[in-house]
Amino acid sequence: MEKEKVFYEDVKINDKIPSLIKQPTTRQLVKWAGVSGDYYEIHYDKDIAQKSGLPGVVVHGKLVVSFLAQMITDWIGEDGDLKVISCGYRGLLYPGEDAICNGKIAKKYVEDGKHYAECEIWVENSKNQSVIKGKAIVVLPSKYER
Amino acid sequence: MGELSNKEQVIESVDKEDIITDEIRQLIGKDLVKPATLTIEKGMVRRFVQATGDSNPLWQDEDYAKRTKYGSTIVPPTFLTFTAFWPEEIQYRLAKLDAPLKRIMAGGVEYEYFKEVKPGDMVTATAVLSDAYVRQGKEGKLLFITVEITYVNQKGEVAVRERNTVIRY
Repeated sequence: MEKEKVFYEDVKINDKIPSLIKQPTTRQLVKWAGVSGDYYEIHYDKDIAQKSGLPGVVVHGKLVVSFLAQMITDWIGEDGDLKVISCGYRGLLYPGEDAICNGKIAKKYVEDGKHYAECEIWVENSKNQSVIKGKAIVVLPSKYER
Repeated sequence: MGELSNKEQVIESVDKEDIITDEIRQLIGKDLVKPATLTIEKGMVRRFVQATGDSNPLWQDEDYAKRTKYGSTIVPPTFLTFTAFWPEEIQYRLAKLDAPLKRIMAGGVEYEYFKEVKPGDMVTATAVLSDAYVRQGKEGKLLFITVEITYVNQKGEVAVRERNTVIRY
């Protein structure tokens, strides 16, 4: 899987990060509960989800954050470094719905010899409803580094 | 003391900073639970990426990872998560906080990365209640509580910091 390096000099403000679409299933929610240790019933027990006022089980917020993190690490590859990912939960996502992950460059700067890009990131479902809004900060390689 | 004054008292206590109780105020900066330690294993990472569906070779392919600056596989960004260290304790501790706003929901999470984490690392996590603040929402007051988890590796280096926000409303 030979991917082109993303260099600091090549990214421009408002450039889009390649989008990632995930389709979480209830099975995936069970797997996530197992690996994350988050066994809150609203994610796999429909009765309890409905008693809590939800139409059905909901996707774990942190699983959706994982999708956004994948979008970033897929983009920066082995040469970039993810420094911060910060997400606010804006709306619920249900299994069977698409998690449409997007991002764009908001800022770029050099600090202490490191080349930073700050990105606005977000997740929407296929009805354009907001699920997560956040930001990510990455360090990118520079063309002029030895 | 009639019915009216009781109602006034209830409204008063929700309007004022009584939402942040003394109990919460005293907890700020203090450990919420005992530290917990996990040794990271390849099998855990394998099951983790099977759950997220992330096939990046950096997490699993040793031959690939050997040729990168890391020298070996590293864990994905959300692999360290507080529920993996304390499955229920923090939720119980937060639920026990006696505050006027009873309903609870997850608000968000922030991760800061300092050092990569690899299979074989022994990670110790500590959790403190780092912040509590009140905001006006569309339908009433919201109490934001932030739990900060610090993940330290076997060399004593801070590898990752996680800030989870929980909202009571």
